[in-house]
Amino acid sequence: MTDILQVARREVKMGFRNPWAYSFLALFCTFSLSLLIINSQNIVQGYSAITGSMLSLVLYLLPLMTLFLGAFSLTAEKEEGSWQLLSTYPIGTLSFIIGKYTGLAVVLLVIIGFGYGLMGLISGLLGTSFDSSTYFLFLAFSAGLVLLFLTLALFIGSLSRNRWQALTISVSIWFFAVIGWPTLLISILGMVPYLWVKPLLVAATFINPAELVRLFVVVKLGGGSVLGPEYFQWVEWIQRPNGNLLFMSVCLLWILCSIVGVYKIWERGRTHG
Amino acid sequence: MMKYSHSRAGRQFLVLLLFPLLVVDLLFPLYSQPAYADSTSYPPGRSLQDIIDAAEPGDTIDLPPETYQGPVVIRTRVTLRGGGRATLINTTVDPAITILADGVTLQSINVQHDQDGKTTAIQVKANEVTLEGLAIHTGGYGIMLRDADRAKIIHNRIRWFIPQGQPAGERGNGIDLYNSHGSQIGNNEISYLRDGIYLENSRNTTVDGNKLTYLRYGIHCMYINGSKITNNVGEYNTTGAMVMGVTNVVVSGNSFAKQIRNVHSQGILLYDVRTSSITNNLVEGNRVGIYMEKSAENELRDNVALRNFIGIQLSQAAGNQFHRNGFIANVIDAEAVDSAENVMNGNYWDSFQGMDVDRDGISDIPYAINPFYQRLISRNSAYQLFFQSPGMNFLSDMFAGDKASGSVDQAPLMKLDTKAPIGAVRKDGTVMVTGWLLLFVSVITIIYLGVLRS
Amino acid sequence: MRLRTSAGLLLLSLLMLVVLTACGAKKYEALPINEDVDVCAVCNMQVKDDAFATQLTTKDGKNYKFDDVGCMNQWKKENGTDKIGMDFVRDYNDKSWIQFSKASYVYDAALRTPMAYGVISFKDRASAEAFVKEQGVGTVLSADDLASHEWKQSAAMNMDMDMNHGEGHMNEGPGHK
Repeated sequence: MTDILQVARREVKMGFRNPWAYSFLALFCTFSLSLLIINSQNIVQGYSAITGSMLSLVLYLLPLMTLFLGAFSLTAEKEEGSWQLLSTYPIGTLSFIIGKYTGLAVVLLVIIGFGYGLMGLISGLLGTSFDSSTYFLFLAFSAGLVLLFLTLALFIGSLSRNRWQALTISVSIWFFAVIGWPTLLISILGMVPYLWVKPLLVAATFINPAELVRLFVVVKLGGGSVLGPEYFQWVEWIQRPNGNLLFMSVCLLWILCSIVGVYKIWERGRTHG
Repeated sequence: MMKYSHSRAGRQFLVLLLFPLLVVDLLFPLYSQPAYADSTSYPPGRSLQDIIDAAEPGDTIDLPPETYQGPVVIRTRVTLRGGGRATLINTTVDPAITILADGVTLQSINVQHDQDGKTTAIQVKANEVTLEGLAIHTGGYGIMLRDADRAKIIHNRIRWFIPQGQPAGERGNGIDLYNSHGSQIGNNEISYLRDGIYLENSRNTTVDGNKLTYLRYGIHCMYINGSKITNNVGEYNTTGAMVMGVTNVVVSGNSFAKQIRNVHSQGILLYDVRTSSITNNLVEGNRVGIYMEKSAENELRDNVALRNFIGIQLSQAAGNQFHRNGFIANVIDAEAVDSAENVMNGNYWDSFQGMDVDRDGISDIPYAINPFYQRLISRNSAYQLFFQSPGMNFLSDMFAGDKASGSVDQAPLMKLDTKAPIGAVRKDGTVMVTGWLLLFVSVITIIYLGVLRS
Repeated sequence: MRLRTSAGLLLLSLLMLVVLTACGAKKYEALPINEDVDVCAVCNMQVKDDAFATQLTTKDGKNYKFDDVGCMNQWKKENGTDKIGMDFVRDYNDKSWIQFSKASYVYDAALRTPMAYGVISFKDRASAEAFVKEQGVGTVLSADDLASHEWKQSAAMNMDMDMNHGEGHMNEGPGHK
């Protein structure tokens, strides 16, 4: 336990000394504030144009930020030789991974907290009508997105040899998960029989954290009916009070599975190395 | 049916006992019965049917503020006034009041109809009947008109209710017209029933200023050529107004908001509508603001679609005119499939970035509705999962070359000067306070964990 | 390496499943009506879970529901009948699903149906004839006769018809016995 805390604390310190963190922070603040100012005449509540475009912005920016910061932190361990050093100490690989995850999560959540804090403050000053439940929903949505993508980032960091490789993989994963996703699925599902489309689509959605979290927020914003008759029951589940719990357990399962996967990779590297 | 009623008798006795107390004492405590010089008063205790049967054509009957038992049948032209305090309770499957004589007027009577399904509180089978200021609680239908022309149905309140101690039954329509032409339906309040105002085969009907909430379809009309649907307000229905199979209809000045419950919810649905005018309506916060299918030669002017998931959706709608409509803050402004040859001019699409070089307030580049998404989901509705997914926008834009086949606004407005209501949320400062707190905590964390510790 | 083999296995099993379903014997079954989500594929009206509901399933498994047999006819007119795997109508009396081609029908302009086509369906000719006898109106038709039926919506016709018959049957509708 102390090992985990040790690693996490070190990670947080390094994270806040990383200029990348601050550039992403600046980017996130700039975009969210400009969106807010453009839409200052409209109210921010429910599923509408403004919440829709905020959703898209967050989906573009946060996964990319998370993948970069997370993957680079792991490759840095390898490149700078600190992992080789650490593995001579009696520190467990699992403690190392969990510590890394926790530390990075703290850094990313603080960045988000800063961004949303500024947003809330400015919207208050501007007099924008920002519905508080919508605000909290977005905060939770961003946090969930970051926590899920962070596990992907750890995977990328573990599998790539250096920073450049990590960069390439991060960008391509981001592209497929966020931008190329519908194109990819529509072209693949065009070849399967009609009755297979829906179950495969649902299964694929559970694999892609960007879509999973986006759909949860759309439903929570009250936009569930736009998803049409096929997902009527899913929407009903999520809308219920324990829908949050259901969603959180899915996320938790996601994170746990990935951490175990990443652990396996590092453990193998340790015994082999 | 009769057996069913008997089994309810015990519970209904309780209802009978309580209801008059409630209605008379709680709702109208200050109302006093006015005396009319030209009207007849009756001693209490007579059955309503006897009172009506004793009347001569043209009589006005002021009912003492009592509770009466239905059903009653009116066969002579009389005016029946309840002063808001006379209550009629009907537990049979027959209508509480059946009107068979032309020119009958009912005023300010409370009617409670304890049956559900296809039974109705009031049935009209005569012409020129006036129903005014009635308060109807019904398990089934409210007012049913059959072959009854030129009726006047105004200022009534119709609500669905579950008679005490009974399971919820099948609800009927609030006001239901069939083959009844030239009626006037105004300023009624209808809620929790199936369809608020259902018009079938009833031409030249005026539906004005009604308030329709928590219904399946607020206004549902089929084959009502030459009718006018104006200034109605609908909220929280599955669909606000469902207009089907009509020509020469006016739909104007209505406001339909918050129809998002159902996966097929819309503000206004137009199906097989021809040569009609749809003007000055406000559709706000619906799943789809205006849905139009298989409709032609209509004029849509000065409508505002505000904060809907989809502002307007066209399917096989061709040859319609769209002028000066405003599409504001919708997640998607417009979708169209198989809808060519519509004339669109001077509409305002707020998601569209126009360019106005000559500064005449009109964009020099046209706005084209992208048909990609709707075409995709019409192939398989499972793809609706991609609604407004960032990648979906990317994909639709790649198919922008396809736009020529869709509907195009040749002269979109740069700015809309309309008094579109913006609405407001309750400002309690929570967001600002939370903002402060978050900012404070994150800055402290950065300084404490990142900078100070060495 | 292990990762690659398991991914390969997954893909293979998926392919197998696809092939199996494609080759498997097709069996069409009528789906239950869900009043919360089912709307008529032609006229957009809610499909009530009543005797007027109809549905068809295409050969690739897509299901369409209709609130009136007239709307299903309209769909067939627009999309053709080649793609249809099976089409179903309901028996007026017990709401059981029957194949469109095996059902008997009664038409009369005075019969009220959701989209006013005035056609209702029965599981056999005897119950259709019994209905006509009871109502005093209507013509019994077979599925083949419907092919030459002109599918007029009663509203498009002259309004002077005897509505008492129509109402009579509405009041005796299912669920009220």
